[in-house]
Amino acid sequence: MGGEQQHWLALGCSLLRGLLIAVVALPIAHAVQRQWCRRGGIAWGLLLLPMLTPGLLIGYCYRDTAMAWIASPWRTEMLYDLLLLAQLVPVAVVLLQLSPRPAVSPAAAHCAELLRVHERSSRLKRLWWGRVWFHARGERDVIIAAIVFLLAFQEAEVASLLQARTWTEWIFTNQARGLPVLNTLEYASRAMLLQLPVIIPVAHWIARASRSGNLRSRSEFVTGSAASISRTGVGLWLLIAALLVTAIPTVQLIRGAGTGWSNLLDQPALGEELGDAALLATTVALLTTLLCRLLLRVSRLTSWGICVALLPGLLGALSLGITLAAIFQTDRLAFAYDTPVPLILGEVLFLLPRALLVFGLWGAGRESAVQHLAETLSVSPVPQQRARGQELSWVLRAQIWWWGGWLIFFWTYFELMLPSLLAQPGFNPVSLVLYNFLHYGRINALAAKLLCALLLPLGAMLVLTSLRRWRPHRWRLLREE
Amino acid sequence: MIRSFNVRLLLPLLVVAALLIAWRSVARRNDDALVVYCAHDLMFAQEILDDFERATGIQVAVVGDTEATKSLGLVQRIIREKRYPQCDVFWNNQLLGTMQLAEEGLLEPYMGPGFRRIPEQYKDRSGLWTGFAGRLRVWIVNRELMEPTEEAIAAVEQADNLAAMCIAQPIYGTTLSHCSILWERWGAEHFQEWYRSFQQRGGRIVPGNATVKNLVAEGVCQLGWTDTDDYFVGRDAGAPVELLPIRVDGKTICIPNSVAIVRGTQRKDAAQKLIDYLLSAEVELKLAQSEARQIPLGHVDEAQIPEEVRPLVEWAREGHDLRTYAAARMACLEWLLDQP
Repeated sequence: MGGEQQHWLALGCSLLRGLLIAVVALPIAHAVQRQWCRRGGIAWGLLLLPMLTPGLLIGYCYRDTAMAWIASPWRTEMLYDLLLLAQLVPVAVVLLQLSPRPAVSPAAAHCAELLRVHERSSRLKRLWWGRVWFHARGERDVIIAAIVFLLAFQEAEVASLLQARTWTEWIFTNQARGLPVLNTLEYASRAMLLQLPVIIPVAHWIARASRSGNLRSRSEFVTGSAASISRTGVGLWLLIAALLVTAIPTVQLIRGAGTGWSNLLDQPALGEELGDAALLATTVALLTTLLCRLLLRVSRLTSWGICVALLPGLLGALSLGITLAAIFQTDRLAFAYDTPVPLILGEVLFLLPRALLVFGLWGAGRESAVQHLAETLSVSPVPQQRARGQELSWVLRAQIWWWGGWLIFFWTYFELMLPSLLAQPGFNPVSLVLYNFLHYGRINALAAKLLCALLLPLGAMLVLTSLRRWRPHRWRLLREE
Repeated sequence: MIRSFNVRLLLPLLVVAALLIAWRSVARRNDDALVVYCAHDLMFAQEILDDFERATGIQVAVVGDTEATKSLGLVQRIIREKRYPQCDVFWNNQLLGTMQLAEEGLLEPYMGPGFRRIPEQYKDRSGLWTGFAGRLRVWIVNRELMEPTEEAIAAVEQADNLAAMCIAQPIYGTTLSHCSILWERWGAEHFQEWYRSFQQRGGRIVPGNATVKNLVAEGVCQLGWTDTDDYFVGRDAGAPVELLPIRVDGKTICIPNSVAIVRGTQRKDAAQKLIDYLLSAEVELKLAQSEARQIPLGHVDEAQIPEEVRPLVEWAREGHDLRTYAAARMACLEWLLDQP
């Protein structure tokens, strides 16, 4: 099979896989949200673990298994699909949980359903019912499915380590063989075109929603047909997902880490590597969040405007990185090549589509009367009112940006391809070093370093989130109320 | 109100200021540093470069290679950066990419004292690159599954089912060098026939030499082609593996590290000092004593060579001259790229 055919085959596989995972992940996510998310901290922890497990850890654990199955690629495909699904279901649950309540309430949707059943309706009425259903449930589900599709379609790290058939892996391999930049871009643009039919309607919805400024509250477990998956089924799925994606790789990691500490202690650069990764991730999280905020607040921004902002990120990290490297090697921009600018710009452009979809879905850009009232209350001269107003503002608005920012932080922190192409000499985020260790088989030292790399952002997130709540003065006022 | 306003304004300002200061310090890291692109295990390389920094006072900024960029990331990066080079010294863990850079006119000649102590077959005649500290291509054999002898290997090679044997993707790295030699010595037609037959008989082609080692160590395969450093990683982990040197027409295949100055460097003196340091007997011995057990190519104090490396030194002396296979490499690679 020639290179061109293999490229189309890889694209087709990625497309089918992305669609399949989006379709399968959604009902599972609904069931999980309905039956699991009320249970509190530990349940949420179990749910989120697979989402927060970095691709390197998963790929490193299952790489040899996939290689042992090299004669039967369908097994590797099944393993890869299962891992992706296990990682993306929690993403869908979080999106569901933080998304605004639909414009049409479940009660209204139910009434419409009754009308549809009782009246042998005309085509017009069926269309009307379709619109009601879409606004009651479909709109939100379509966007969440689109985000899940986007993440599955663009996945590169686990695919690269498991040698799964994906367009990202095909481009990596052929770029390493010396594919010229223009050809790389041509192939990547085909992948971009395949994502557009998914992205354009979503961008349109985001633009419309951000202009409408409707009063909407967070979702309150108002999802529809989730009863098809039982509570036991949900619990079983979560257990399998946590075992497969997090527990087994972590056990392997800790086993390796035991003997890797001595190697790690010989390397004084660890602090600098962790610092570089955190610096990059913080900067990108802040800039991307600000950019999303700006894009979602520009009242005249059309869906086409949002689409244009999303396009570079749809090229995938490798193609985007190579393009930026070429652009910053031109005479006019060469002065900035040896600076952090290309890397930061690349990360922001790469992560913008998913960040914008997440914030758009969560209604982060919408102004509501409730938010305005909470803001007003938060500057009240009465201390109790001020404290209450600040807490309300957090619940209504700030926490979306906070958790969204952390999501972007994690994506950047463990992203590999752009730093490997664009980082200036001497700037070594820890993900680069981890992959270097993997490349040269330094498994023990890798395990120890990966453990440190995981603990730093998780620890920082927990500490900073607790600090927000640690305001004795304000809590005393709230209690006194 | 005023207090709240101040805090709201002050906190973002503090964060932005902290980020700017941090990035400023990152940007100044390589103001005077010698930039080294290093396609070698950073765990060893960093130690050697740190020693160089201490000995000379020359600051070094290292850019490493990663799994996802398939070893060729740095070569491609030097090619992409040819108009505005960032790299001063390229330290490659093999020869292929370095020879490609030399062919494209991206390297600067240098023949210092280090160059002179390396045998002729491991350096470019005009000094564009110099090899040091090599690895041998070897058979890695799981001794619990088969006898680690040449006869037993030959029997597996002749079998109708080759599922017990694995090799790394031949379009990259040391396996490409290996295939180029086979292409030249056997003739293109014979090599192509062998490769097709290998695939038809179920021989496994996996992403890299480390994976070959893993598959043999875990008993998924009985034997495979790999490099000595990967073999030692498996042996040190307690895997039941043995090695035998691969010979083509009676000669072994020794693939050295290579080091070169990139054309356009602004720090030529420092680059030359680093190259002399890397080509010194001291560094070759350090690499021989490391976990990778790399083979010294120049003269070193033999008493300091580890016991298990000594036979490798002898085998390396019988190695093919890789410089003569440049044309075969191109032809072989072009053919391999068209294969499924």
